[in-house]
Amino acid sequence: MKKSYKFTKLVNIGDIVFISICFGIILFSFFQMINLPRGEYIKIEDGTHNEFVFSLESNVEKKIGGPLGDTIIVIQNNKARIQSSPCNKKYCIHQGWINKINETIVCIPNKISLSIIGKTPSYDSINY
Amino acid sequence: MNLAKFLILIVLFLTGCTQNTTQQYKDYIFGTIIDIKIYDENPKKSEKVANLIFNDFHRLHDYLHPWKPSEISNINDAIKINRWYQIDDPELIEILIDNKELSKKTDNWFNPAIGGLIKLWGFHADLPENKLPSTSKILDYLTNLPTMEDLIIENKMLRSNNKMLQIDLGGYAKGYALSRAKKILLDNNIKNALINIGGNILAVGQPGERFWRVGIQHPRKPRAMATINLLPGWSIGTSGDYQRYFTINKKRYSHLINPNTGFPADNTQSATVLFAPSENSEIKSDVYSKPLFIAPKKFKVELAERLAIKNFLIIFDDGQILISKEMNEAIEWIDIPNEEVLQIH
Repeated sequence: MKKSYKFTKLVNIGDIVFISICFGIILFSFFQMINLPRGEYIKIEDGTHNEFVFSLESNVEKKIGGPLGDTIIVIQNNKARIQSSPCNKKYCIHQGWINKINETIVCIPNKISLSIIGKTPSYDSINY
Repeated sequence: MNLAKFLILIVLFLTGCTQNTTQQYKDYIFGTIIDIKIYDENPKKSEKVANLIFNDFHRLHDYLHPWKPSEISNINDAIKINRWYQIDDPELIEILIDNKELSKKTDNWFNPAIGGLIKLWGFHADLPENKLPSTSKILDYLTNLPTMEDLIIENKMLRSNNKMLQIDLGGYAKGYALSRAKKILLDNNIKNALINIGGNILAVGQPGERFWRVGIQHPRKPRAMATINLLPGWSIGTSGDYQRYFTINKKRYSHLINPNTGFPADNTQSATVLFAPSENSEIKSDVYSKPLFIAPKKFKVELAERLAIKNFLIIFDDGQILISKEMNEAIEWIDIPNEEVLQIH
């Protein structure tokens, strides 16, 4: 004899809740993805393990404190650089603009580092 | 479907979403950045182990520092006045014996006895002093050039007949610290990590299915010129003229000083060596980049062969590249000026 199934026996309330949650998560992830700013980011770290990430598309000037004083970082036209630094040699300023993934500027005296990051890094660490 | 089944499904579903994460820890020690990445571990445990490593590095820094008060500076003070010095710590005796052996193996191209010469060039300071020493002082120094052979170690006692001998372990300390970090990681059962001490890197295990990937710094641009997979246990080190240097009249003077001329080596921009895991391979990945950087161009290949450095990459002063066959196969170039500059050995 052919078995007959009722819809309510096949799919109960728990299944509906579960499927709704799945759809909810998929929709949420999709909107999150399309809302993400494009391009790459700059990650700034200071000596006290604080980390700041800004989009390279933001045109801003950031003042980050270090043991010697304030380092001023400029983000402009999809690139970033150290504009002023209280360190002695100013090597960090001379490095100029950076804009490619993994490009890094480190100011060891003032313990501040800048690195360009993308959504997928091309390497884990740099040998120098 | 009852509630229990529903909850189990939700848990399974969410478990599928979790990613194996990498925890990252940073500190400033040895005058440089220390970067520790630990893969797929309990964050509390990772943090604890990273702190154990940082604490050990602080201990080494205070203990081996060449010019601030330390055990090494005490030894140097005793040598200056021709006194015996008693070392109670077996670790330090082992380090000094290791340095004697390494300098002998490298024909003193790696010479940690020339602290006095490094000081003369103004590199015994957090920032280079930016002044040239007088040539007569350098020549004077060379007439009695100290080497590690001049260091006499008898049981726990140490002295030297050469008062010019001043130990500077700047070319050894980072490699030694890497070997210490490896021990701490393994003792604490951390299986996958990447340790970077001012550019000297050791891979422990691997992050999941792939290998740890490392960029090799371009000596004249603020980015990597190549990338390479660092297999489990492998370590990589570079000596470059672009980290500690000063310029006078557009000439660059780096901290890598040729013990035979008394002047900073200027035939090379960077020398990178890569070592498979073996006894003291982390130390070799730090120490052996120095002879390859400092020695004259015509000696470099012979030196690499004699020291069994299978993987090396040297960028000469004019941008020409000398690379070993093995390294050339392992490396992936990002920014190579042109193929003509590549010389494969």
